[in-house]
Amino acid sequence: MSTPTCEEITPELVAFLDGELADEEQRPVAAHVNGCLACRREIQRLTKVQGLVTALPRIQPSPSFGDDFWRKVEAEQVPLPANVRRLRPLRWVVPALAAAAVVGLALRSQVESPPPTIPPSGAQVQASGKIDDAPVVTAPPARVATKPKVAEPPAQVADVEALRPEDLPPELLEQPELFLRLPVVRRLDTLQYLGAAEDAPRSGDEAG
Amino acid sequence: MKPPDVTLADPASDPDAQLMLRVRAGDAEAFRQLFEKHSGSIVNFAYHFVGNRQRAEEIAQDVFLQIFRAAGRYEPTAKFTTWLYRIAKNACLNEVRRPEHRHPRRSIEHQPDDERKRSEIAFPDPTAVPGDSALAGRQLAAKINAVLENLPPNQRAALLMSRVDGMSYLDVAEALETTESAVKSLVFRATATMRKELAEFL
Repeated sequence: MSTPTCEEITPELVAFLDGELADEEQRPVAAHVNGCLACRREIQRLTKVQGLVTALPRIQPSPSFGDDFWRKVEAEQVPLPANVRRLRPLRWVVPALAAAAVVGLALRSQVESPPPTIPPSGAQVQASGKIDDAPVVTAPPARVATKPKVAEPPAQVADVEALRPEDLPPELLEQPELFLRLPVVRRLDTLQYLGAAEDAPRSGDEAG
Repeated sequence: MKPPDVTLADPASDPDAQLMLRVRAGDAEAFRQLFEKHSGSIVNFAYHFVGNRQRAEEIAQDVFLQIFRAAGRYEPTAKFTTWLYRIAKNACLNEVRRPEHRHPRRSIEHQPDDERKRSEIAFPDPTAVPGDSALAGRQLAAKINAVLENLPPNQRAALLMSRVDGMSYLDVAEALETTESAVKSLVFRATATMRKELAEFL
């Protein structure tokens, strides 16, 4: 095996100094360096450079560094009152039930709303709801008008601000899974409360 | 290239990976331990990378926030520190690529007094500085910072990880998502540039 030249050895010198060469790679480098004054001097200079970089001054994080970070972490979590924090695992339920509520309310309003005005025969209804002369879509038969009138349900709690954590059943706080067993209306009320509770402290945190 | 150390390459034997698994399971104290253990190193890595203390601290906080957010998806496929430094490197690269990155690399010489007091302005190893004056040490530190700033980002990252943070080439390779051979080349080229630029101090 031929002895490596200085040009071949030079790119290996830093890894050689770092102890990052395998034995079979290290042996020829060591053999060359032992017999080459120029490479030994180069190793001295590289060692000096490595020492300078290794000894770069370290800084200490500012005193507020940790506190600032934990505030950011806290901001990542939606702040909730302490006694409803245990409901957080159920947060996936919120969008699902909210969507169900929207559908339910839409159906209810359809049932309760006065029958729409039937456009004169031959008039057309566009998607925007405006009557136009242009024949686009034939108006459907007045299906709603034929449905029996549904009795007005009892007024539900709609004043979200009036709801308080204590309004939630205590067993719900202890066993959040019971949430799913609540009547739908009660669930919606609870969700409304949670929505208000999630929104309120956020701005307060920023201010504070 | 040196064969990998089996024990270090095994994530299951990495105590930080074990902590991270606890974080994944919702253990806030484990996350606090990881932050306390590694945040200082990440601040320093970012500081030497971007040359600005304030941005370095923001980057370090952002790195740990990313870890916090990703905890639920964490899988210990590598050492925790290589994952950590990979995130830190990417955050630093994003910072130096920003058009707003106009912060001149702040040498310790130009730090406010209170900030300077928090830094170790002299090289801890007196033999590392030609002459023994603090001024010479500050000039040298300023020169090193200037050279660092002009290194290509991957060379800078490899040099800092291997020399300042003491990482093996294998770990640096994982953090930089490249090969050990590439790291060897990156570290060599960075060191060669430093050697050339710092010739007057050698």
